[in-house]
Amino acid sequence: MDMELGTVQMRFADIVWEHEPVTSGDLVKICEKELNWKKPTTYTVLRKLCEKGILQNVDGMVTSLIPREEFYSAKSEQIVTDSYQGSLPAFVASFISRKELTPEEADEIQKMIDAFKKEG
Amino acid sequence: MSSVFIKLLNLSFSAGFLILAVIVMRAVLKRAPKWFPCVLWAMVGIRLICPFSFESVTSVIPSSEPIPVQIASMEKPQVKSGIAYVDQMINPVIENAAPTQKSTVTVRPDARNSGGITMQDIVFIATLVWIAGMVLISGYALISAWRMRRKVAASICREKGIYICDDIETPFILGMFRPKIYVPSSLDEKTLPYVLEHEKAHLKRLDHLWKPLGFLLLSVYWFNPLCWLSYILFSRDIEMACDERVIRRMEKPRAAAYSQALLDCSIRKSVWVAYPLAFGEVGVRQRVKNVLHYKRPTVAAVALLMVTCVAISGCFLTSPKKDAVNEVVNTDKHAVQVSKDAEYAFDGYSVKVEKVNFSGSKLHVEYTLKYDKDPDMNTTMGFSVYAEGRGKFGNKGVYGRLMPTSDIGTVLEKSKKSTLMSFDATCYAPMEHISLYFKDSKKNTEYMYEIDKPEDTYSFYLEPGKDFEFVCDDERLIILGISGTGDLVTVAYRYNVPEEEQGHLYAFFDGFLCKDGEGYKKLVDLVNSNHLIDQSMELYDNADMSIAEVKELYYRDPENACECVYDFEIGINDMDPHEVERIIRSGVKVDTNCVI
Repeated sequence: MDMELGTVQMRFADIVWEHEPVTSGDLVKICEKELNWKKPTTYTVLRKLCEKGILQNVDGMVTSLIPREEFYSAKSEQIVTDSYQGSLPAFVASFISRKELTPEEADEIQKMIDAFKKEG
Repeated sequence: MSSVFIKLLNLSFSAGFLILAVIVMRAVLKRAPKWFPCVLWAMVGIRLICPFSFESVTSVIPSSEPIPVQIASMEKPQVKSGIAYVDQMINPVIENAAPTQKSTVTVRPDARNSGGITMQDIVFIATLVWIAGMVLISGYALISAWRMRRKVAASICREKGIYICDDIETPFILGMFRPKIYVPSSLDEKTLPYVLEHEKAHLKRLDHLWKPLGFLLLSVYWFNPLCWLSYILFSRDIEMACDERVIRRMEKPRAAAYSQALLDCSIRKSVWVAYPLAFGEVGVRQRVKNVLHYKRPTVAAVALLMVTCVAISGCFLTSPKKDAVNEVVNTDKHAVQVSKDAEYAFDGYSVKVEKVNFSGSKLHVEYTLKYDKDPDMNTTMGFSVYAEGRGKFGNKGVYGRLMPTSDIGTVLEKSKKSTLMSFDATCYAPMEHISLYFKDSKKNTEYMYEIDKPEDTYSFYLEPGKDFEFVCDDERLIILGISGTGDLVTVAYRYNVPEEEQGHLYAFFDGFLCKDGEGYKKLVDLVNSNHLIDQSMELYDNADMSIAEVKELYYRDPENACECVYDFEIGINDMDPHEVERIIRSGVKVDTNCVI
């Protein structure tokens, strides 16, 4: 699966996640309304996302191959893998170094870590 | 279509000088604000678009029409670039390489198809190649524009007129009438505002119109390498002028951020965008440098630049003045005159001008020729001269100036057509070669007729419809030029004295050559009896006879109150010095420069 999506493809995928399962005809109508796209444009972008393995078009019924949440977590995982050699602490450290954490955010992260420890 | 092509070739020739000037000015004034080169490029555009230009004395362009539009139909194709060196290089080549096929000369019909490839073929093929290139280049532009449009169909509107697209690498503007800004979605939010400011500045400057216009001109003038160079430089200057417009009111830190954005944009960019109208294919180094060094120009600098613009347009946007008047004056020196009812006698011949007629664009002269020793000879002959530069000359050649007689005067008055004609003609008549060259300066057209190895009679006929007939029974006679302005046509000629005959004295009477005593005595008689009035006389150079020389000889024509100047040389050996003195005293004024 290719996670590299541009802003436009992202927006299109969001529309599909929002409306799935949706017929390709309906998708054309939605895109025409929301993005002011012509029919061939919708089909082109749909084809590209199908090639990337994110969506599928079976007999005119468009569905996603991966839920939205899973896509985003996979994507963030990919970022950690690609940019921080798979090290989560390195990712968090770089994130914190750029942006001050609010006490609330720190608490929330702490809670997430605690919950993870209990499970383990 | 061929004539359009030749016209464009000529335009591109004069535009070439302007382009070179602009390139030099750009280099010299590289610190000038970048709108300045844009103004200069606009002048190049005007030069390339506008088929006409004003004549001006300030023009430094050597020739406004180096390639005659009728080059294909000319007997002797020639270019007149105004640069002697270039002409000398090119003309022999095209003359030899490309004889015109439709030879209008009927003397040697078998010589017609001798040349292989003709000038007409060359012009035709060149025109086809030009059209093909034009189609190819504009087709390329249209196809890449269409592909670009398809590419950006999958884009989402960010705000009015600004679209985000995944599949593009650089920001650009698409469309001429409803231009839209497209930015790649990969552009980060920090860079985006500067990119948008840049593209909006393009829209304000109407660059999305200027640039396609430049490309359109390029696709027409693709054969001129200077036009390619201009387009490339023009694109650069547009970008830098646009940058300047963006940073004009920015403080230094923001300008620095802007140049950072320029740099960020360029790093991701890989190849030259296929779509030629996209913005941004300029060396980012130069642009960043330009942005960081920008200073607002002072009022004095702006004024200076304006003056420079005016000077360049005066020198390069205008075409050179043609001095047709000078040519007429020059050839006038060698002129004899023909007027209605005038009678001339010489060497046993007598000529009477019967008719001088002017109608429309045609001037017609008829005359009778008689010969004392042959009473049977009594021929009426004539010649016509057309505004288009064709004429008809009769036997023995009436090389004449047609005076504004009453006939011509009235016709002119009636037709309200004044000064229709102006010609220059050259006829070289050595044994193997005759050529005639006509120029109609009113229409700015030129004609060249040429004949190789004429038959013994030396008569030849020229197209169309044998409008031109020239008869010459002496190969040493050279017609230098025919010039005129409607009511006055002058034919200039010269007699080539062969080496073995040098030492004899030659004189011309009414276009006929007299050698030594006979003709010369007639001259003396004419002078003595004041017959010079209403007649005209010429003495010609006799090669190296410089023992005695009279540089200028004046005589006054009491009827027409005109004064003529002639140059001649007299060989002292052939002439009694007292006789020379007598000629001079009998009403003929000799210039102080004379050496006797």
